[in-house]
Amino acid sequence: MTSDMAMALPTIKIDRPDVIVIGTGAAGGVMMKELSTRGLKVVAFEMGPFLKTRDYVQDELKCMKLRGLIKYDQPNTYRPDANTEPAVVYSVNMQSNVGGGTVHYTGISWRLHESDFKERSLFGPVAGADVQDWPVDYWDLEPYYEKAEYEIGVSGLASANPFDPPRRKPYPLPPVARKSSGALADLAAQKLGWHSYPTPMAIITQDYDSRGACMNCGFCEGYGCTMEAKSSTLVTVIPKALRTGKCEIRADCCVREITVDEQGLATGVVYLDKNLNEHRLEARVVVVCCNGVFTPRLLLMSPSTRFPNGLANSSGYVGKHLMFNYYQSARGFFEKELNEYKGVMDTRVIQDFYEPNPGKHGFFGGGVLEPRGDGELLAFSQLNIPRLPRWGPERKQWIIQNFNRQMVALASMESLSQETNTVSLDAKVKDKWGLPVPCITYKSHPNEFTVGDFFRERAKELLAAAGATRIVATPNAVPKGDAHLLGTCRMGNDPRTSVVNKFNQSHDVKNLFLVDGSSFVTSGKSNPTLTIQALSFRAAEYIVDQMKKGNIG
Amino acid sequence: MDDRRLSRRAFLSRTGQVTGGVISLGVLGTAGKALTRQASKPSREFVSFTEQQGLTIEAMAERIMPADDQSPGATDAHVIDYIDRSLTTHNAEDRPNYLTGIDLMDKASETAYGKKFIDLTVDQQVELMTAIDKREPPPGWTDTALPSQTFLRLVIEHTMEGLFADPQYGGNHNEIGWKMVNFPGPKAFGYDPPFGAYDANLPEIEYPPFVPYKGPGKQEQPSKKRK
Repeated sequence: MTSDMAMALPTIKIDRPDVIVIGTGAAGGVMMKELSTRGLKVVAFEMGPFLKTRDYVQDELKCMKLRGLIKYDQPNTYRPDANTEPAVVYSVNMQSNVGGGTVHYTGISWRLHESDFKERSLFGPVAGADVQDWPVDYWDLEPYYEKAEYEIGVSGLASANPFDPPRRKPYPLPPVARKSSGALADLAAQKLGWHSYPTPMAIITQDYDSRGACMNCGFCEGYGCTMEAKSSTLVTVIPKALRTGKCEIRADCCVREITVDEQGLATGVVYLDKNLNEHRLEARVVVVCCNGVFTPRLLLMSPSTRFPNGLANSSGYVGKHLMFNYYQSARGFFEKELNEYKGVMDTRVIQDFYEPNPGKHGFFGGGVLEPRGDGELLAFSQLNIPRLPRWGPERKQWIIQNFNRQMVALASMESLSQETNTVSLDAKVKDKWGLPVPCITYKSHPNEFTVGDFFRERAKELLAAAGATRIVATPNAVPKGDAHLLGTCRMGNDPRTSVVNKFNQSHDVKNLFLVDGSSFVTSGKSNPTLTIQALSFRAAEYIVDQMKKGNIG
Repeated sequence: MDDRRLSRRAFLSRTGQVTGGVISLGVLGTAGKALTRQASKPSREFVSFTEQQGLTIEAMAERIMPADDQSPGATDAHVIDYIDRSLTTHNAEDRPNYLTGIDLMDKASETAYGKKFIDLTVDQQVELMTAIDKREPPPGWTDTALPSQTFLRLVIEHTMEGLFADPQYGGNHNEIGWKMVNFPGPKAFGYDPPFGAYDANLPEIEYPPFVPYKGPGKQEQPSKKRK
């Protein structure tokens, strides 16, 4: 089915919402649906436009290089440390259309493992890092992981991964079709004694919830799905929210401040419309779902006499402990055609090296191997390959020979929480709204490169076992940004050392909730979206409960 | 059918480029001037360039992705049309760099060979571009206005875009770039597996059946239970 589900949905105007949700991505979309279907009136804000499925195109140049459709069109700044002058970059890999990053994401949707929530107590402290336990554990989130898998639509094969945490229900949909990169991963894993299993993906493999099954067109990671088979919030929970008649989306509107009253409770927001006209909107509860960079930025842009260092920031931790996931990869070239331009990005995963084992490996934190077809034609033609000229007959022959005969073994790993890795307001650079852009200060913990070295070797080992004729690997490098934006309003029981409690509720402002990757205490090993969505389902339930009891709002 | 086994003439024929026996010759004869379409089109109009500038970029693009006896190149794919047009749209901020860069190429060319870039032989053009790529500018030429290697990299990037981006942007004429690498372009209705040689031939792993975890959650810590 390719009908534009959102088209037929009611558009209404709400002047007095119960709840304001800022951001319509992974968490915001879930929040909109969960609150409005329980009878609450919701106004959701999105900085970018409300594009529909028909607006998304299978066009590599437009989606992968040009900014605006998929890539967020405003810059940020980056510096390795607080003593260096920030440089203007575009390193925050995010999308600001309705649906947020779930429109273009790969769709990898796994649960964190039990150990991810308890790293401090299981493995002890790490010098130079601030590793803590989460205030929730896997079993607190398990019902909400399940809810997310069923409501969003996740395909996978429960029981296939011996390292998965236990679960009560299988995935609602069978796994995605295996590509050649997945088949080679299976081959290599069997040779090496590892365990490859079908990647759990938020891409439906059968008709589900009035959407049609994936047709393996290949325009997947980095694109908006033209089939609505990718389970973005744009085509799953957001239409359900709008159908209640109790949810309004204000797209092309940027919230620049959350307002508070004398009691220190949130009263609403100040926002700018497309023409930079300023408006105010009041609500009983405010939920911020702007991601690990833009959520702390909004709080820091909302100082008041009561909260001079930024809203919800009595701990001083807003914007601190920024984490990404760290990546290394190796690219393998093969004799026969893989045709990785077909199908979803990633069909097999290997989690044999997931659990941190400092004693055995000499480093903290683990990772996953994601064999995949990472080879868009424009990018592939310009790859920097040792000893290969960038142009001329040799380059041309190389492109022709290899475009369909290569794959990538991507390793996605843990990033350690450090107080000095931060999001702050840039002192000089303003965005198109006239607001300070986020400044990323980030330096890798030495452990990151050690893990990177280990996983790069495993990636090469995988490709070699699969029969690659040539392998080219990436070197370690400090990331300036990422798509996984985590940790900047961390969750905890102690208001002195955390920003939100275990229900994503601000310790300082009881009717303010921060729900997105910013509440992560540890980064996990890779794709955080399903956990963000589980947290959002859980926080929404808590918000409704607390409002009913009269405790907030 | 494997395009790489076809002759370039057959390739162009398939892509509809051979008309009335007149074939865009590209640079098949490497002796003499490297200009590409001058024989059939004496005057060229560009929106971002003078004719001289446009032909300079077209020649550079052809050196970057040259036609050979097996497959077409940048000229056949109308890469210059892509670059010319893109400098008025999404690559507009690079236009000043092009104008400076072309001047720089000509100055370098005149210093080294006493001729403008487009008047060099193919071998000389390759020689000059190779020197620039290796940051070894010819004697007498100072590379101050714009680092020439940066300019070359820019033209490389845009040549690849002109060859491989969607034809709606003016290049990749008749999907020449896509056909060259056996990429069918966007297919609205996708593909059925098997997708490639390996998933077709390697057996699927048999996984154990799913057994739901029945424990009451917190009371039964499964990690302890499993140990």
